[in-house]
Amino acid sequence: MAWPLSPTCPTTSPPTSPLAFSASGVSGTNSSTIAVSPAAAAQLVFITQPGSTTYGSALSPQPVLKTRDSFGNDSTVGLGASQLVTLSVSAGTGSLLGTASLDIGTAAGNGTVSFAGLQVSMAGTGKQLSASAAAIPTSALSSSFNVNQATVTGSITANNKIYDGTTAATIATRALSGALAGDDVSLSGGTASFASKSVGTARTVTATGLTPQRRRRRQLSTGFDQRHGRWPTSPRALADVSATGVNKAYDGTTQRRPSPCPITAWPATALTTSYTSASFADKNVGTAKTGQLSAVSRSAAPMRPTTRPIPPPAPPPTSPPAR
Amino acid sequence: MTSVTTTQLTYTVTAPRRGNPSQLTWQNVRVRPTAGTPLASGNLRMSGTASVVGLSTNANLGTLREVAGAASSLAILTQPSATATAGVPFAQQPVLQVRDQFGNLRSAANGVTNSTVVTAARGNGSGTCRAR
Repeated sequence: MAWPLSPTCPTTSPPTSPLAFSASGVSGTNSSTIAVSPAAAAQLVFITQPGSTTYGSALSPQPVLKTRDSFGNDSTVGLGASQLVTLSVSAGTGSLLGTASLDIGTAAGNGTVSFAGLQVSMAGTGKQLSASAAAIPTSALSSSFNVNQATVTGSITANNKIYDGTTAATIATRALSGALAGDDVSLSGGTASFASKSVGTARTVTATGLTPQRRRRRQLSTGFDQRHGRWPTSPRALADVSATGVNKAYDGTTQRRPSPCPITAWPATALTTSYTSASFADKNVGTAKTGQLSAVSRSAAPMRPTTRPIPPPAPPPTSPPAR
Repeated sequence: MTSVTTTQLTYTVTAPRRGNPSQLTWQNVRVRPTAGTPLASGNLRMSGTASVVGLSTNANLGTLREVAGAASSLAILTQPSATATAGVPFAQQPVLQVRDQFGNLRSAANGVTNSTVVTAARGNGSGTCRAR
Protein backbone atom coordinates (compact mmCIF):
# COMPACT_ATOMS: atom_id res chain seq x y z
CA MET A 1 0.00 0.00 0.00
CA ALA A 2 1.25 3.43 -0.88
CA TRP A 3 1.49 5.80 2.00
CA PRO A 4 0.56 8.29 3.24
CA LEU A 5 -3.18 8.14 2.93
CA SER A 6 -5.28 11.28 2.71
CA PRO A 7 -9.03 11.38 2.93
CA THR A 8 -11.56 13.15 0.77
CA CYS A 9 -14.87 13.94 2.26
CA PRO A 10 -17.81 13.38 -0.04
CA THR A 11 -20.49 16.00 0.08
CA THR A 12 -23.25 13.54 0.63
CA SER A 13 -21.51 11.53 3.27
CA PRO A 14 -21.43 12.07 6.97
CA PRO A 15 -18.36 13.96 8.11
CA THR A 16 -17.19 11.00 10.13
CA SER A 17 -16.26 7.58 8.91
CA PRO A 18 -13.89 4.74 9.70
CA LEU A 19 -11.41 3.44 7.21
CA ALA A 20 -12.12 -0.02 5.87
CA PHE A 21 -9.20 -2.23 4.92
CA SER A 22 -9.62 -5.26 2.74
CA ALA A 23 -7.63 -7.78 0.74
CA SER A 24 -8.57 -10.63 -1.52
CA GLY A 25 -9.39 -13.78 0.39
CA VAL A 26 -8.68 -12.13 3.70
CA SER A 27 -10.99 -10.97 6.41
CA GLY A 28 -10.99 -7.17 6.39
CA THR A 29 -11.06 -4.78 9.27
CA ASN A 30 -12.18 -1.26 10.08
CA SER A 31 -10.30 1.49 11.79
CA SER A 32 -11.76 3.64 14.50
CA THR A 33 -13.98 6.53 13.39
CA ILE A 34 -12.31 9.50 11.73
CA ALA A 35 -13.81 13.01 11.60
CA VAL A 36 -13.04 14.58 8.23
CA SER A 37 -13.16 18.35 7.74
CA PRO A 38 -13.43 20.06 4.33
CA ALA A 39 -10.52 21.78 2.73
CA ALA A 40 -10.52 25.44 1.72
CA ALA A 41 -13.39 26.61 -0.46
CA ALA A 42 -12.11 26.41 -4.01
CA GLN A 43 -15.11 26.40 -6.28
CA LEU A 44 -18.62 27.66 -6.76
CA VAL A 45 -21.27 25.14 -7.67
CA PHE A 46 -24.83 25.64 -8.89
CA ILE A 47 -26.92 23.63 -6.48
CA THR A 48 -30.08 24.77 -8.25
CA GLN A 49 -29.75 25.52 -11.93
CA PRO A 50 -31.53 28.56 -13.37
CA GLY A 51 -34.72 27.58 -15.12
CA SER A 52 -36.28 28.75 -18.34
CA THR A 53 -38.88 31.45 -18.30
CA THR A 54 -40.76 33.92 -20.44
CA TYR A 55 -39.41 37.36 -21.22
CA GLY A 56 -40.44 39.72 -18.48
CA SER A 57 -40.70 36.98 -15.86
CA ALA A 58 -38.15 35.85 -13.33
CA LEU A 59 -36.08 32.76 -13.97
CA SER A 60 -37.78 29.74 -12.49
CA PRO A 61 -36.29 28.22 -10.51
CA GLN A 62 -33.89 30.84 -9.33
CA PRO A 63 -30.22 29.82 -9.08
CA VAL A 64 -28.71 28.66 -5.80
CA LEU A 65 -24.96 28.31 -5.34
CA LYS A 66 -22.64 26.82 -2.77
CA THR A 67 -18.96 26.98 -2.10
CA ARG A 68 -17.06 23.69 -2.09
CA ASP A 69 -13.50 22.55 -1.74
CA SER A 70 -11.62 20.96 -4.59
CA PHE A 71 -12.95 17.54 -3.61
CA GLY A 72 -16.57 18.58 -3.82
CA ASN A 73 -17.20 19.03 -0.12
CA ASP A 74 -19.32 21.92 1.06
CA SER A 75 -16.83 24.33 2.54
CA THR A 76 -16.67 27.80 4.01
CA VAL A 77 -13.00 27.53 4.89
CA GLY A 78 -11.17 30.67 3.84
CA LEU A 79 -14.26 32.49 2.64
CA GLY A 80 -14.02 35.31 5.08
CA ALA A 81 -16.91 37.13 6.67
CA SER A 82 -17.93 38.69 3.37
CA GLN A 83 -17.49 37.36 -0.12
CA LEU A 84 -19.62 38.58 -3.01
CA VAL A 85 -20.82 36.13 -5.63
CA THR A 86 -21.72 37.81 -8.90
CA LEU A 87 -23.81 36.30 -11.66
CA SER A 88 -23.68 37.33 -15.29
CA VAL A 89 -24.98 36.06 -18.60
CA SER A 90 -22.04 34.29 -20.18
CA ALA A 91 -23.78 32.63 -23.09
CA GLY A 92 -26.67 33.95 -25.09
CA THR A 93 -27.96 37.47 -25.34
CA GLY A 94 -29.05 39.96 -22.74
CA SER A 95 -28.02 40.81 -19.24
CA LEU A 96 -29.35 40.06 -15.80
CA LEU A 97 -31.98 42.24 -14.24
CA GLY A 98 -32.34 42.27 -10.49
CA THR A 99 -29.89 41.66 -7.70
CA ALA A 100 -27.09 39.70 -9.35
CA SER A 101 -24.60 39.85 -6.47
CA LEU A 102 -25.04 38.22 -3.09
CA ASP A 103 -22.75 37.75 -0.12
CA ILE A 104 -21.74 34.13 0.44
CA GLY A 105 -19.31 34.95 3.27
CA THR A 106 -19.51 33.35 6.67
CA ALA A 107 -21.25 36.38 8.13
CA ALA A 108 -23.89 36.34 5.40
CA GLY A 109 -24.80 33.33 3.28
CA ASN A 110 -22.20 31.16 5.01
CA GLY A 111 -21.47 29.13 1.93
CA THR A 112 -24.86 29.32 0.25
CA VAL A 113 -26.58 32.04 -1.76
CA SER A 114 -30.10 31.89 -3.14
CA PHE A 115 -30.92 34.44 -5.77
CA ALA A 116 -34.41 35.78 -6.18
CA GLY A 117 -36.28 37.70 -8.85
CA LEU A 118 -33.55 37.51 -11.46
CA GLN A 119 -34.59 38.14 -15.04
CA VAL A 120 -32.76 38.23 -18.35
CA SER A 121 -33.21 41.37 -20.43
CA MET A 122 -33.61 39.61 -23.76
CA ALA A 123 -35.42 36.56 -25.05
CA GLY A 124 -33.43 33.76 -26.61
CA THR A 125 -32.20 30.22 -26.25
CA GLY A 126 -29.05 28.60 -24.97
CA LYS A 127 -28.36 31.13 -22.27
CA GLN A 128 -25.97 30.34 -19.44
CA LEU A 129 -25.03 32.11 -16.27
CA SER A 130 -21.58 32.24 -14.79
CA ALA A 131 -20.88 32.86 -11.13
CA SER A 132 -17.66 34.18 -9.74
CA ALA A 133 -16.23 35.48 -6.50
CA ALA A 134 -12.93 37.15 -5.86
CA ALA A 135 -11.59 34.69 -3.31
CA ILE A 136 -12.82 31.52 -5.00
CA PRO A 137 -10.49 30.24 -7.71
CA THR A 138 -12.98 28.29 -9.79
CA SER A 139 -16.11 29.96 -11.09
CA ALA A 140 -19.29 28.12 -11.97
CA LEU A 141 -21.16 27.82 -15.24
CA SER A 142 -24.81 26.96 -15.18
CA SER A 143 -26.62 24.65 -17.51
CA SER A 144 -28.34 26.33 -20.42
CA PHE A 145 -31.84 27.74 -20.25
CA ASN A 146 -34.19 29.66 -22.49
CA VAL A 147 -36.06 32.92 -22.20
CA ASN A 148 -39.12 32.57 -24.34
CA GLN A 149 -40.67 35.49 -26.12
CA ALA A 150 -43.54 37.26 -24.40
CA THR A 151 -46.89 37.67 -26.15
CA VAL A 152 -48.36 41.09 -26.84
CA THR A 153 -51.78 41.72 -28.32
CA GLY A 154 -52.46 44.55 -30.68
CA SER A 155 -55.71 46.43 -31.13
CA ILE A 156 -56.91 49.42 -33.16
CA THR A 157 -59.81 51.79 -33.38
CA ALA A 158 -61.02 53.40 -36.60
CA ASN A 159 -62.45 56.78 -37.29
CA ASN A 160 -66.09 57.16 -38.12
CA LYS A 161 -66.67 57.87 -41.76
CA ILE A 162 -69.38 59.18 -44.00
CA TYR A 163 -70.79 56.61 -46.33
CA ASP A 164 -68.67 56.50 -49.44
CA GLY A 165 -69.59 53.16 -50.83
CA THR A 166 -66.37 51.50 -49.71
CA THR A 167 -65.19 49.59 -46.68
CA ALA A 168 -62.02 51.62 -46.36
CA ALA A 169 -61.32 52.63 -42.79
CA THR A 170 -58.83 54.99 -41.27
CA ILE A 171 -57.01 53.73 -38.23
CA ALA A 172 -57.51 56.14 -35.39
CA THR A 173 -55.56 54.52 -32.59
CA ARG A 174 -53.22 51.61 -32.20
CA ALA A 175 -52.52 49.93 -28.90
CA LEU A 176 -50.53 47.01 -27.58
CA SER A 177 -51.44 45.07 -24.48
CA GLY A 178 -49.05 42.75 -22.75
CA ALA A 179 -46.05 44.99 -23.27
CA LEU A 180 -43.93 45.21 -20.18
CA ALA A 181 -43.49 48.36 -18.22
CA GLY A 182 -40.34 50.06 -19.32
CA ASP A 183 -40.34 48.50 -22.76
CA ASP A 184 -41.03 51.22 -25.30
CA VAL A 185 -42.88 49.31 -27.97
CA SER A 186 -45.68 50.44 -30.20
CA LEU A 187 -47.82 49.35 -33.06
CA SER A 188 -47.44 51.00 -36.43
CA GLY A 189 -48.59 50.84 -40.01
CA GLY A 190 -51.31 48.62 -41.30
CA THR A 191 -54.46 49.17 -43.23
CA ALA A 192 -58.00 48.74 -41.99
CA SER A 193 -61.37 48.07 -43.47
CA PHE A 194 -64.91 47.87 -42.18
CA ALA A 195 -66.69 44.57 -42.36
CA SER A 196 -69.38 46.18 -44.48
CA LYS A 197 -69.70 49.31 -46.57
CA SER A 198 -73.27 49.79 -45.32
CA VAL A 199 -74.20 52.55 -42.95
CA GLY A 200 -74.36 51.43 -39.34
CA THR A 201 -72.83 51.60 -35.91
CA ALA A 202 -70.44 49.40 -34.00
CA ARG A 203 -69.02 48.09 -37.18
CA THR A 204 -66.23 45.57 -37.00
CA VAL A 205 -62.98 46.83 -38.39
CA THR A 206 -60.25 44.51 -39.54
CA ALA A 207 -56.68 45.64 -39.83
CA THR A 208 -53.80 44.00 -41.62
CA GLY A 209 -50.16 44.78 -41.87
CA LEU A 210 -49.84 46.12 -38.35
CA THR A 211 -46.27 45.98 -37.17
CA PRO A 212 -45.07 46.03 -33.58
CA GLN A 213 -41.91 48.02 -33.31
CA ARG A 214 -39.57 49.15 -30.69
CA ARG A 215 -39.35 52.88 -30.49
CA ARG A 216 -35.86 54.21 -30.47
CA ARG A 217 -36.21 57.71 -29.26
CA ARG A 218 -32.51 58.34 -29.40
CA GLN A 219 -32.60 57.69 -33.11
CA LEU A 220 -35.30 60.28 -33.46
CA SER A 221 -32.99 63.02 -32.31
CA THR A 222 -30.95 65.06 -34.78
CA GLY A 223 -29.74 61.81 -36.25
CA PHE A 224 -26.16 63.02 -36.34
CA ASP A 225 -23.72 60.13 -36.02
CA GLN A 226 -21.41 61.55 -33.43
CA ARG A 227 -19.23 58.49 -33.41
CA HIS A 228 -18.38 58.85 -37.09
CA GLY A 229 -19.04 62.56 -37.38
CA ARG A 230 -21.54 62.38 -40.20
CA TRP A 231 -25.19 62.56 -40.99
CA PRO A 232 -27.03 59.42 -41.85
CA THR A 233 -27.30 58.57 -45.51
CA SER A 234 -30.39 56.45 -45.22
CA PRO A 235 -33.78 57.86 -44.29
CA ARG A 236 -34.90 57.25 -40.76
CA ALA A 237 -38.35 56.32 -39.70
CA LEU A 238 -40.65 59.17 -38.91
CA ALA A 239 -42.75 59.17 -35.88
CA ASP A 240 -45.05 61.55 -34.09
CA VAL A 241 -45.43 63.90 -37.02
CA SER A 242 -48.42 66.17 -37.17
CA ALA A 243 -49.47 69.00 -39.43
CA THR A 244 -51.55 71.97 -38.41
CA GLY A 245 -52.92 74.96 -40.20
CA VAL A 246 -53.66 72.97 -43.30
CA ASN A 247 -56.83 74.61 -44.50
CA LYS A 248 -58.78 74.55 -47.71
CA ALA A 249 -61.95 75.94 -49.14
CA TYR A 250 -64.88 73.55 -49.50
CA ASP A 251 -64.67 71.84 -52.85
CA GLY A 252 -66.58 68.65 -52.23
CA THR A 253 -63.45 66.55 -51.80
CA THR A 254 -61.16 65.58 -48.99
CA GLN A 255 -57.97 66.26 -50.91
CA ARG A 256 -55.62 69.11 -50.29
CA ARG A 257 -52.92 70.08 -52.70
CA PRO A 258 -49.39 70.19 -51.41
CA SER A 259 -48.24 73.58 -50.32
CA PRO A 260 -46.00 74.83 -47.56
CA CYS A 261 -47.50 74.33 -44.18
CA PRO A 262 -46.06 73.94 -40.68
CA ILE A 263 -45.27 70.42 -39.73
CA THR A 264 -44.27 69.57 -36.23
CA ALA A 265 -42.05 66.60 -35.67
CA TRP A 266 -41.15 65.23 -32.29
CA PRO A 267 -38.61 65.78 -31.08
CA ALA A 268 -37.76 69.17 -32.49
CA THR A 269 -34.84 68.61 -34.79
CA ALA A 270 -32.74 70.34 -37.36
CA LEU A 271 -34.61 68.45 -40.05
CA THR A 272 -36.88 69.81 -42.72
CA THR A 273 -40.09 67.86 -43.02
CA SER A 274 -42.37 67.88 -46.06
CA TYR A 275 -45.17 65.92 -47.63
CA THR A 276 -46.52 65.39 -51.10
CA SER A 277 -50.26 65.09 -50.48
CA ALA A 278 -52.84 65.35 -47.78
CA SER A 279 -56.46 64.41 -47.27
CA PHE A 280 -59.06 65.26 -44.65
CA ALA A 281 -61.07 62.62 -42.91
CA ASP A 282 -64.22 63.89 -44.57
CA LYS A 283 -65.24 66.53 -47.08
CA ASN A 284 -67.54 68.41 -44.72
CA VAL A 285 -67.00 71.99 -43.63
CA GLY A 286 -65.63 72.29 -40.09
CA THR A 287 -62.66 73.07 -37.90
CA ALA A 288 -60.03 70.95 -36.21
CA LYS A 289 -60.33 68.40 -38.89
CA THR A 290 -58.14 65.31 -38.86
CA GLY A 291 -56.59 63.88 -41.94
CA GLN A 292 -53.67 62.03 -43.35
CA LEU A 293 -50.35 63.07 -44.82
CA SER A 294 -48.73 60.88 -47.39
CA ALA A 295 -45.18 60.53 -48.61
CA VAL A 296 -43.82 62.43 -45.67
CA SER A 297 -40.08 62.87 -45.83
CA ARG A 298 -37.43 64.47 -43.74
CA SER A 299 -34.15 65.91 -44.90
CA ALA A 300 -31.22 67.31 -43.04
CA ALA A 301 -28.79 70.04 -43.91
CA PRO A 302 -25.19 69.41 -43.01
CA MET A 303 -24.33 70.95 -39.71
CA ARG A 304 -21.75 70.55 -37.05
CA PRO A 305 -22.58 68.13 -34.29
CA THR A 306 -23.45 69.59 -30.98
CA THR A 307 -23.24 68.10 -27.56
CA ARG A 308 -26.00 70.27 -26.23
CA PRO A 309 -28.99 68.35 -25.01
CA ILE A 310 -31.87 68.11 -27.36
CA PRO A 311 -34.57 70.59 -26.32
CA PRO A 312 -37.94 69.20 -25.37
CA PRO A 313 -40.51 68.92 -28.13
CA ALA A 314 -42.25 72.11 -29.06
CA PRO A 315 -45.92 72.06 -28.15
CA PRO A 316 -48.24 71.94 -31.13
CA PRO A 317 -50.25 75.07 -31.95
CA THR A 318 -53.26 75.30 -29.71
CA SER A 319 -55.52 77.15 -32.10
CA PRO A 320 -55.85 76.75 -35.84
CA PRO A 321 -55.17 79.78 -37.98
CA ALA A 322 -58.12 81.62 -39.47
CA ARG A 323 -59.48 80.18 -42.62
CA MET B 1 11.64 -47.40 13.18
CA THR B 2 11.79 -48.33 16.81
CA SER B 3 9.87 -45.50 18.37
CA VAL B 4 8.42 -42.07 17.67
CA THR B 5 8.01 -39.32 20.24
CA THR B 6 7.31 -35.61 19.94
CA THR B 7 10.98 -34.96 19.95
CA GLN B 8 12.70 -38.13 18.72
CA LEU B 9 12.61 -40.76 16.00
CA THR B 10 14.51 -43.92 16.91
CA TYR B 11 15.77 -46.42 14.34
CA THR B 12 17.39 -49.71 15.08
CA VAL B 13 19.91 -50.76 12.49
CA THR B 14 21.76 -54.04 12.40
CA ALA B 15 24.97 -53.87 10.49
CA PRO B 16 26.21 -56.83 8.46
CA ARG B 17 29.17 -58.62 9.76
CA ARG B 18 31.16 -58.15 6.64
CA GLY B 19 30.91 -56.42 3.44
CA ASN B 20 30.02 -52.87 2.54
CA PRO B 21 28.76 -50.58 5.24
CA SER B 22 25.03 -50.00 5.43
CA GLN B 23 23.43 -46.89 3.91
CA LEU B 24 20.53 -45.20 5.70
CA THR B 25 18.05 -42.94 3.90
CA TRP B 26 15.29 -41.03 5.71
CA GLN B 27 12.30 -39.84 3.70
CA ASN B 28 9.10 -37.90 4.52
CA VAL B 29 10.26 -37.02 7.94
CA ARG B 30 7.72 -34.44 9.13
CA VAL B 31 7.39 -32.20 12.10
CA ARG B 32 3.98 -31.10 13.27
CA PRO B 33 3.87 -28.07 15.54
CA THR B 34 1.87 -28.57 18.62
CA ALA B 35 0.41 -25.02 18.51
CA GLY B 36 -0.48 -22.56 15.73
CA THR B 37 1.54 -19.85 17.30
CA PRO B 38 4.20 -18.98 18.01
CA LEU B 39 6.01 -20.44 15.09
CA ALA B 40 8.16 -23.35 16.13
CA SER B 41 11.75 -23.96 15.22
CA GLY B 42 14.48 -26.46 16.07
CA ASN B 43 17.26 -28.64 14.81
CA LEU B 44 17.46 -32.21 13.52
CA ARG B 45 20.29 -33.94 15.27
CA MET B 46 21.68 -37.37 15.26
CA SER B 47 22.15 -39.18 18.53
CA GLY B 48 22.43 -42.71 19.75
CA THR B 49 25.14 -45.36 19.74
CA ALA B 50 25.51 -46.06 16.07
CA SER B 51 28.66 -45.06 14.46
CA VAL B 52 28.07 -43.25 11.23
CA VAL B 53 30.93 -42.35 9.08
CA GLY B 54 31.16 -38.61 8.66
CA LEU B 55 28.82 -37.75 11.47
CA SER B 56 29.79 -37.10 14.96
CA THR B 57 27.48 -37.68 17.83
CA ASN B 58 24.85 -34.95 18.09
CA ALA B 59 25.69 -33.72 14.65
CA ASN B 60 23.23 -31.15 13.36
CA LEU B 61 21.54 -32.57 10.31
CA GLY B 62 19.48 -29.47 9.56
CA THR B 63 17.35 -26.64 10.94
CA LEU B 64 13.65 -27.00 11.27
CA ARG B 65 11.66 -23.78 10.76
CA GLU B 66 7.91 -23.29 10.84
CA VAL B 67 6.63 -20.54 8.47
CA ALA B 68 3.44 -18.51 8.62
CA GLY B 69 0.40 -19.93 6.95
CA ALA B 70 -1.81 -18.46 4.25
CA ALA B 71 -3.12 -14.91 4.69
CA SER B 72 -6.27 -15.00 6.70
CA SER B 73 -6.91 -11.67 8.35
CA LEU B 74 -5.86 -8.05 8.56
CA ALA B 75 -4.96 -6.43 11.81
CA ILE B 76 -4.52 -2.73 12.51
CA LEU B 77 -1.27 -2.13 14.29
CA THR B 78 -1.61 1.69 14.32
CA GLN B 79 -4.91 3.49 14.01
CA PRO B 80 -5.15 6.49 11.64
CA SER B 81 -5.68 9.95 13.12
CA ALA B 82 -9.04 10.51 14.68
CA THR B 83 -9.42 13.81 12.81
CA ALA B 84 -8.37 14.75 9.31
CA THR B 85 -8.79 17.42 6.66
CA ALA B 86 -9.91 16.56 3.16
CA GLY B 87 -6.93 16.26 0.88
CA VAL B 88 -4.40 16.39 3.70
CA PRO B 89 -2.56 13.19 4.69
CA PHE B 90 -3.48 11.71 8.03
CA ALA B 91 -1.08 12.96 10.61
CA GLN B 92 -0.95 9.43 11.98
CA GLN B 93 -0.90 6.97 9.13
CA PRO B 94 -2.44 3.54 9.66
CA VAL B 95 -0.24 0.47 9.94
CA LEU B 96 -1.64 -2.97 9.21
CA GLN B 97 -0.49 -6.57 9.45
CA VAL B 98 -1.47 -9.57 7.40
CA ARG B 99 -1.79 -12.64 9.55
CA ASP B 100 -2.40 -16.34 9.08
CA GLN B 101 -5.22 -18.22 10.68
CA PHE B 102 -3.30 -18.53 13.92
CA GLY B 103 -2.43 -14.88 14.07
CA ASN B 104 1.10 -15.32 12.89
CA LEU B 105 2.43 -12.31 11.03
CA ARG B 106 3.01 -12.95 7.39
CA SER B 107 6.40 -11.43 6.92
CA ALA B 108 9.73 -12.27 5.40
CA ALA B 109 11.04 -13.02 8.82
CA ASN B 110 8.33 -15.60 9.13
CA GLY B 111 9.15 -17.18 5.85
CA VAL B 112 6.60 -15.36 3.63
CA THR B 113 7.93 -14.33 0.26
CA ASN B 114 4.77 -13.38 -1.61
CA SER B 115 2.78 -10.15 -1.13
CA THR B 116 -0.79 -9.30 -0.28
CA VAL B 117 -2.56 -6.25 -1.73
CA VAL B 118 -4.50 -4.36 0.92
CA THR B 119 -7.07 -1.71 -0.02
CA ALA B 120 -8.16 1.20 2.17
CA ALA B 121 -11.51 2.91 1.68
CA ARG B 122 -14.05 4.90 3.58
CA GLY B 123 -16.02 2.68 5.85
CA ASN B 124 -19.26 4.43 4.95
CA GLY B 125 -20.38 7.08 2.48
CA SER B 126 -19.04 7.53 -1.00
CA GLY B 127 -15.74 9.20 -0.31
CA THR B 128 -12.37 8.00 -1.35
CA CYS B 129 -8.90 7.74 0.05
CA ARG B 130 -5.93 8.94 -1.86
CA ALA B 131 -2.38 7.74 -1.53
CA ARG B 132 0.37 10.20 -2.20
